[in-house]
Amino acid sequence: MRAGRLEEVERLLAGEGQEPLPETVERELRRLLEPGEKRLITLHTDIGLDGRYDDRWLVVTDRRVAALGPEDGRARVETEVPLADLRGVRLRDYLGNGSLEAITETGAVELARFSRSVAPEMPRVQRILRVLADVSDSETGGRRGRGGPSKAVRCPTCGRVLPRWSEVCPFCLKRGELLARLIRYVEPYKAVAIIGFALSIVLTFLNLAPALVTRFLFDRVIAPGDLSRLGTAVEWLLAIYVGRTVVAMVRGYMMEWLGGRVVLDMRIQLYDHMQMLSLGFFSRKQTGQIMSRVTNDIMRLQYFVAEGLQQIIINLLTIPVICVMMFGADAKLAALTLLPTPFIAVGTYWFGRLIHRVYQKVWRRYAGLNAVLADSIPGIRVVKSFAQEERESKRFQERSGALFTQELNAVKLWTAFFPALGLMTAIGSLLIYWYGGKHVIEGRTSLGTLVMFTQLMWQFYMPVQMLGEMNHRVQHALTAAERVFEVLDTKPEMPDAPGSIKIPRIEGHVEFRGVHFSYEPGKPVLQNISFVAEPGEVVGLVGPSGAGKSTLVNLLCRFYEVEEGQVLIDGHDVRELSLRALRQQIGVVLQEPFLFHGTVADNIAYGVPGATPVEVVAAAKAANAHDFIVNLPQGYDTQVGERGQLLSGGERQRVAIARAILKNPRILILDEATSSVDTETEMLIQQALDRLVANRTTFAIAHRLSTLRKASKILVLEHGRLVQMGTHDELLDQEGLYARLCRFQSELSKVRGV
Amino acid sequence: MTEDSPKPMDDTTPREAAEAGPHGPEGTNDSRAGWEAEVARLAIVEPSRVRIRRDDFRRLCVRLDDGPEFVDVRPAPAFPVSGAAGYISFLDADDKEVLLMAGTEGLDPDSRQCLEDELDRVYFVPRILRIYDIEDAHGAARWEVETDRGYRLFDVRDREDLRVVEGSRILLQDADGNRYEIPDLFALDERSRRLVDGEI
Repeated sequence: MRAGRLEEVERLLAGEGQEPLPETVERELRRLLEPGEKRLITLHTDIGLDGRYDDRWLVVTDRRVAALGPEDGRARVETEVPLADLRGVRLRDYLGNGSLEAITETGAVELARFSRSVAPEMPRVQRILRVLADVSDSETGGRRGRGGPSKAVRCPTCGRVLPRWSEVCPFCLKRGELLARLIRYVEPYKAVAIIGFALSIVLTFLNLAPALVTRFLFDRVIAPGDLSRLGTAVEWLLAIYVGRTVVAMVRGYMMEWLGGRVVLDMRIQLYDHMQMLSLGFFSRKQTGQIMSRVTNDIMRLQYFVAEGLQQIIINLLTIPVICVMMFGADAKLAALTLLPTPFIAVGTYWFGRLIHRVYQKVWRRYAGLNAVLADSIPGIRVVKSFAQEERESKRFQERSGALFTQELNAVKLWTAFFPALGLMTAIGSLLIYWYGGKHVIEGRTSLGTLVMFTQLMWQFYMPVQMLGEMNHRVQHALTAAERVFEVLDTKPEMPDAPGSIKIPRIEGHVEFRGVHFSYEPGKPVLQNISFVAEPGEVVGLVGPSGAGKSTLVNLLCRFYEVEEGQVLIDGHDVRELSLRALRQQIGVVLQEPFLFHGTVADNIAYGVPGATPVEVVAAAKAANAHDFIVNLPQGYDTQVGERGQLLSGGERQRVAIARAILKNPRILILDEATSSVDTETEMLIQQALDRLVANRTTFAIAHRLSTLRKASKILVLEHGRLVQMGTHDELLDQEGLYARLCRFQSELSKVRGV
Repeated sequence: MTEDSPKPMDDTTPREAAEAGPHGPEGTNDSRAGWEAEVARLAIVEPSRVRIRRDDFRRLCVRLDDGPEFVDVRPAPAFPVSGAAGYISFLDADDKEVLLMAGTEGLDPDSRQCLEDELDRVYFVPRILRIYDIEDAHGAARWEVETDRGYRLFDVRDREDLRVVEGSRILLQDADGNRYEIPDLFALDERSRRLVDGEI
């Protein structure tokens, strides 16, 4: 065996790869292996060769690869290939499963079948086997997978699958830590929080006080017929009620202020932080998800910080206070009154769970209904042109009907539960009247105590009910907090290294040296790319979609970092350059230019906020945009962007070019800048671009090869590799991909009659 | 608006738009008759004319009548979920179709065996026969089931991964991307059905 091969395998394994074997398999394996044979991989696979779910083990040693399966309680070797015979390893990727095949001189055998749960392990196994058998990596294994979700969906700590809404493990939430972290946001407003909390306690007592006064009223005033005290008692009650109202108002305002204020801080911090995150973060997550963190998650926290936390504390405080009051007055009656409490608590808890499930179903029906809308409204042109309005209406009716039915289920629960709860509480009051009444008649308790009990009872059940729902609320608030903190804890994109180089004016010498890159491990997007672009050169990038053209320019902008190799600008590795200084000197014009909400002038000056009107007009003129802009009713002050005046694709494109011209970048990237416009507009844009590319190094990703005639160098990419390089004429002379693409396009333009 | 704004589509009548729709301007869609000719031209091969074998290197090889043999092809059922037609497409290593077969009825037994063996891999969607338990936790659920391919435990991330089609048929995808199917919810036993009912 070639020296160093085992070391390479060890490196690929990185200490993993050996799963523990059950005893029967272990025994059989020992019998199979020769002395001194080194085990490298033992991997559990989950589908037998017959296509049934079964436990199998794939074993790779330094001498062979074998598949073992349990058979009637004792393991059996199913297939075995000595590494010496191995000529290739093929990985087949199918819907829901895959298979691994060993190729020898005379044929191929299937080593293992496995579901998608095991599939992520397999590329490594394949690579290791190839290293061991010394077969080249160039032979592609199987076809491109129709893969399932590739991102980690399991909790890294507990291994449980994450629900999609969450992205953080609800089981592993460290509630204490999260709570502490949340409370830290309240700290700057300590005074408000403490006063608010104090008022809450005052309010709690003010709520309970009337019961005491009422007892006094009955026992000391009404029963003895003491008219002189009646006024005092009523005055006291009035004072308490007024006080309660005032305190509630002040407290409510303070708490809302606090919640709003904390959330304001958090939202700003979150947004600022998100602006600093790398492009990788945004491409991993959907826009909707990211937006929902800034809005929904934070809103949940607002309620929790302002009200939820205090409610919990107040409720926990109210219950014992009432207990003390009741037991102090009449222990036996108190015990009786509290009899329904456990039923109410448990009932509310169960009801909470049940209603949650039912509402989940309601929400799903809502989502189904929304899906119809999201489908048919943007697609209304298609609906109408195919005359399918009726079908869409029917679809909507069906979904609406399903929603109605499901909502009724929820309503049934609501309407059944709350009256039932009312009944339970009412039974509580009946107990008080029955036994309390007896006590009063027998003279063991005063009438006032009885009245106090009935009042307190109602105030007692409320917090009990709320505590029943508390678990659920806390859980939701904390997961929202976790999601927000997850973003805040994501490291911002590669910060400038200390001592990073700031080139005040980039010359424009660009070099790629042996660059490898992949967005996901195991799926290389760029492989061994090397080329040099001189200052002022126009470099064309050509190739089928998915060849890696956009990735190449992404690496140049350092939106991502290379895996292997180097990207050099003026002889410096981009990783050593200050990111800000670098991007200030790179201009990008995209296929779908993005205009921000604002005026045309704002959009042109986006990269240079201090630009004077003269500069803006000059840039627009150079971009062939000036004429159409002054034709707009509000000229340069016309609002564009989402709700503004609609510009056509070619117009937007020219505004984007003007933006790039004004920025005056040293390196210019044109990402299919002319692909989606008509011929005349393309000519105008092409003129503008010709002005723009002068004196700068330009990288042009082009769809229409004719636009690259003037390029001094064309790079042809295919499957992430640089397959051809040269001028348009040189490449045409070579019988290669470029010549083929050119021929194909001229055929196409004949058909179009261009 | 200036002259280079895209031409609004609204002035095309629905009829014109519909005709220009799926086939593009160069298609022969002047009349229904032309379209029928188009359908008739579609070469769907009768299975009786097809020979399928697997070579020593486990590659699937397919041959039509006495034509040349295509090596290393992959069968792709055209309507695997709905089964609207039993069409099976054969794709070569570059994912180009080499022939489209009208079903499996009429294949010789050896070819049929080969094809079924490969289809078993290409479209691996175990049917759930019985559900032992669905443990729901914060929206994700762990399913413990018996399938036509044996016992299986899997996690579903979200109820969005359950799709109800044709009223009582349910397609599932688990967290790892494996697929499962409940062919008919009402054919399940009472307990299984109740468990599933809470999830849809």
